Amino acid sequence: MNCKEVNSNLIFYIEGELQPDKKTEIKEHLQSCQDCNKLFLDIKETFTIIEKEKKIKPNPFLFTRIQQQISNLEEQKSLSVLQPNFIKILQPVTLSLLLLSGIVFGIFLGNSFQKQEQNQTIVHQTDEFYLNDFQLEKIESFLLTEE
Amino acid sequence: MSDSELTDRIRNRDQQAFKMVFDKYQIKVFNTCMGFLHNKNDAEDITQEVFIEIYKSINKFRKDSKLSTWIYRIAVNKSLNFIRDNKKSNWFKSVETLFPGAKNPEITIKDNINNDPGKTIENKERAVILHKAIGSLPKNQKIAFTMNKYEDLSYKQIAEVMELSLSSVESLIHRAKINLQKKLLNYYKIN
Repeated sequence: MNCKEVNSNLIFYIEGELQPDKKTEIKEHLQSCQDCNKLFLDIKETFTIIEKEKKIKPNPFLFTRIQQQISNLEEQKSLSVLQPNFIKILQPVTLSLLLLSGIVFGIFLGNSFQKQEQNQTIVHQTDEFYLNDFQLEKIESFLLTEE
Repeated sequence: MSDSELTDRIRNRDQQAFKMVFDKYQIKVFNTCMGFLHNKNDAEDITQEVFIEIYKSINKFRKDSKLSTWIYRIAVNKSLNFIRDNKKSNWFKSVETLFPGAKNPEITIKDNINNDPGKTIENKERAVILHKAIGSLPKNQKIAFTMNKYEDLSYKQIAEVMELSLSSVESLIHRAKINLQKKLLNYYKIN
């Protein structure tokens, strides 16, 4: 068996998937060919990485993390179930309250202006009263007294 | 307790049954994720996502397939989606590394058995080469090979998970091994 043939079967040799006669041929070749033996050892060593990775164990608190996440999700879910109904009710209620308070404020503002106007007319009337008071006294008589 | 009974109990939000499913499948899911992601933290995150998905979607699980097959499918899909999403963010990371002062991404592979620094570096290099070679395989070859090597699943079980015939799985794994051998030989012949 030549180097090319050995190289094309190295992975199956490592995995033990070859027929016994082919396996023996490759084994004999590897004992006599340094280059092929080096490649065989490199690939074999590379494949041991998989076995090392398989020995890694997950965090023992992984289930606690999962439980926590699930309870968070369920909380969010229960909130999201409430939320659409809540928004459906809250939006028109807020709007009508705002509208109502606007109307009430408008009426209040309107009333206060009316009161102010009334006061002003009273003041006017009193002014007129005073003026009328002046009118009671004849200007001629006033001038006379000055003299 | 059988998987069918456990499934029914999880449907009724039975936490004890969910814990039993977790205990039964956590290593299988974690190993599958490790096979695709080769990083403990990422594999734990995806394992967590897989079990949350199981809990959320248990009502969608039809009993015409095995629970294990369904769980493996979720684990494979979640892992492949993670790789796809990570590729996008890696593109931005690779752009970042072009600028001075940027951190170089470092691959950390723990070697618990050997404390020899030279050997550890060599193992890290070998791990990078192997992960690159597996990662460059066509999708179906990668799934079949990973499930066979990392999870020791039989060809029949892989055929069930991938919804393929037994001969297709055999062919996929055979081609995956030839491709890996080619890539590893090319690397080691040059170096």
